[in-house]
Amino acid sequence: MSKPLLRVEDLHTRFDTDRGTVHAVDGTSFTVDRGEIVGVLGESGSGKSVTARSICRLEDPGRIAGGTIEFEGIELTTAEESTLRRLRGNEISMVFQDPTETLNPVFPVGEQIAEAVRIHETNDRQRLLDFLGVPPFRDRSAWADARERAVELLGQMDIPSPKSRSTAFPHEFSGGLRQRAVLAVALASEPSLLIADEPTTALDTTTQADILRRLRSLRDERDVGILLITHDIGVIAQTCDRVIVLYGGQVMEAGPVERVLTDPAHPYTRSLLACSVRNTDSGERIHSAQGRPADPVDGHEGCPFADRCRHATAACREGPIPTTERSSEHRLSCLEAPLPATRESSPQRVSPTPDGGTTE
Amino acid sequence: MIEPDRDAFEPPSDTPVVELRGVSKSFSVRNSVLERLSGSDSSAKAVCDVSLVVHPCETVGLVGESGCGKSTLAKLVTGQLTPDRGQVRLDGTRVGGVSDRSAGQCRRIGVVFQHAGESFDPRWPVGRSLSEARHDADMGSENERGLGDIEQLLCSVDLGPEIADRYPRELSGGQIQRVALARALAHNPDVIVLDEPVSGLDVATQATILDLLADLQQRFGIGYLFISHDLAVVQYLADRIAVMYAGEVVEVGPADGLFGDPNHPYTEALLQAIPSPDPGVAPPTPLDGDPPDPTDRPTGCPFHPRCPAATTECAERHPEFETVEGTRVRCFHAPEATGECEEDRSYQPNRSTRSSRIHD
Repeated sequence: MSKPLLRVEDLHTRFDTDRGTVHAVDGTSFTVDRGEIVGVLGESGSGKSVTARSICRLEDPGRIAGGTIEFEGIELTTAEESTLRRLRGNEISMVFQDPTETLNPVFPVGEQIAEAVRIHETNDRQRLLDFLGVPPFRDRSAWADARERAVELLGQMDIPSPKSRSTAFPHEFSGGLRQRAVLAVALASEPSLLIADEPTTALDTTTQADILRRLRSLRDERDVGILLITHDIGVIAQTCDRVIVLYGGQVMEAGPVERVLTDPAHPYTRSLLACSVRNTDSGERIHSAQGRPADPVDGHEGCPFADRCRHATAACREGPIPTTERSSEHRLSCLEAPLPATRESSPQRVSPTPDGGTTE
Repeated sequence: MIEPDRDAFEPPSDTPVVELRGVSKSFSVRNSVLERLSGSDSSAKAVCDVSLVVHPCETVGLVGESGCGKSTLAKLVTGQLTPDRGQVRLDGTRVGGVSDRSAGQCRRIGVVFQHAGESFDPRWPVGRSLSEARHDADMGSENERGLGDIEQLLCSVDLGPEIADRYPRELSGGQIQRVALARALAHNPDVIVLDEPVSGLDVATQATILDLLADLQQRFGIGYLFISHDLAVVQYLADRIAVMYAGEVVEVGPADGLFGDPNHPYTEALLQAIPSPDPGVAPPTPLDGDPPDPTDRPTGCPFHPRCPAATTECAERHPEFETVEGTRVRCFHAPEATGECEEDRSYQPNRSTRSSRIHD
């Protein structure tokens, strides 16, 4: 077994607030390999984004209270700021949910991609005057090369007429074009790990399909490891190789997508699948999980899902929940497993029609 | 709790609450002084000749990619914009913009805006925003739905009375969406325009909001104009669906028929873009190209540059509505389409079904 690209082990990220310590990530462990897409699935507040930020060490104002993050053999939790600066953007890139807020509205898109290219070229030291564009100190030929590379990157993202588009401003782009431009920025340095935090949530379904196809081709052609964070089960099913289901900052279930989504073993995964509108017929009530997500302040005794789980017993609310292996690669944190099969939790109810739609 | 009182409301009548008759709206985009002097005005056509009706107790889904004019259409209904051509009718009476409408006419339409959180005053507790909406809706008369005070309003959307003292920033996405709904209910509307009410919410919250919307409709007999780009959501809630592309309605019909057997290639493309929750299904193929520039619309059918079935006829002639198996579609290549224009332009309410028809 070769070493995985990224290994997160028992990660704890906490936020100190007036109300107490918020345990946003509470003992999460997973790995991401080269050339695979790992999906992180969970409701809002389940610690998906904090996990992603912790990997980039952008957890501030929170703090990493324990655990290890190992990226290509480098321990990130204790790494120096200069090491992190070298890794961020170069080796680990991030794409965020809203492309409008990621791009600077007052610079042309091409300029912003060129900037990313330049930063990664001049690794050790960035000369302030070069960056400010002060004429005699500006390395004109390097910037011209970076701009050409930016046009090339836009072209790779299938943006029509990349040359003229590179001088356009973000507001002149449509949502899908913007997200593609953000991907171009993220890929400027050819990273080995891409963290995509809800990259398609703000986009249309048609645009979403295009961005997801792009992510898949990145995995297949460039051997990039991708951590895809989303709450959309459809996105996970169509894109990822493995999936991690997070709740209350803990991994509830992890395993290959086919296994977890078609035969979910954890009650939380089942309730997530059941409350998807795509698994519900018109007129039928959606089976939404009862109650609210557990308060993450001061952490959880036992299973964080116990209060909303109909299989929960007293033992679930007490000690730590051990992680069991259901089969190789399919891990599960539940005392009550294996659960009886329920009809409504299986996505098999939905059978695809030849035109790609879904009907009962 | 307020007891459901369905008898107090009349059964759905044949007169639509809201009726749009051939409305068009364009926005002028004059870029430079030179253009202004030369008088050349390239106006962006946001909505082109759209007719649509919403009956009480009926949900009309409006789907389409971003930029296709969905929100503009919503603003025409609410009166925030006035159409350049065509008529907006409330209960059969032609109305103008908000300032021209009587208090009674304004009351009839409620709105939940796309970014619910941003539509509240951040410096006011939400209770104050709600009571403002109550005040505006004629304090003198007794609210027939028993939503007289804030507590009852909040209760009707399954929130506790303590929420009234909270500020918008203190509420979660699902809570603020419920408060926005409560505010729309405050003035006792007959139709609520819901502009992307669940996009940006995670699946579990989305499910609870959709269930709540269905409950409120049952209880109060409200009609919804439900705007979304997520077809799965629209499919779940809507009785009838109108598909918009580049400012035009291209297909409209009952939800089951339209999704089960789409006639317009664009509807089919939208359906195909929904990622299936079953990992065994092949990923969707995205639609090539981008929606047309509203200032430079293609001739003939607006969808022809992206349409797989396009012929020269599509580029030359603009298809008219034809009725195919209960749905009305604007395409030359729809199954069983004759290519002949439909001459029937009169409105004939159909007494036998709750769903109504749309005319162009």
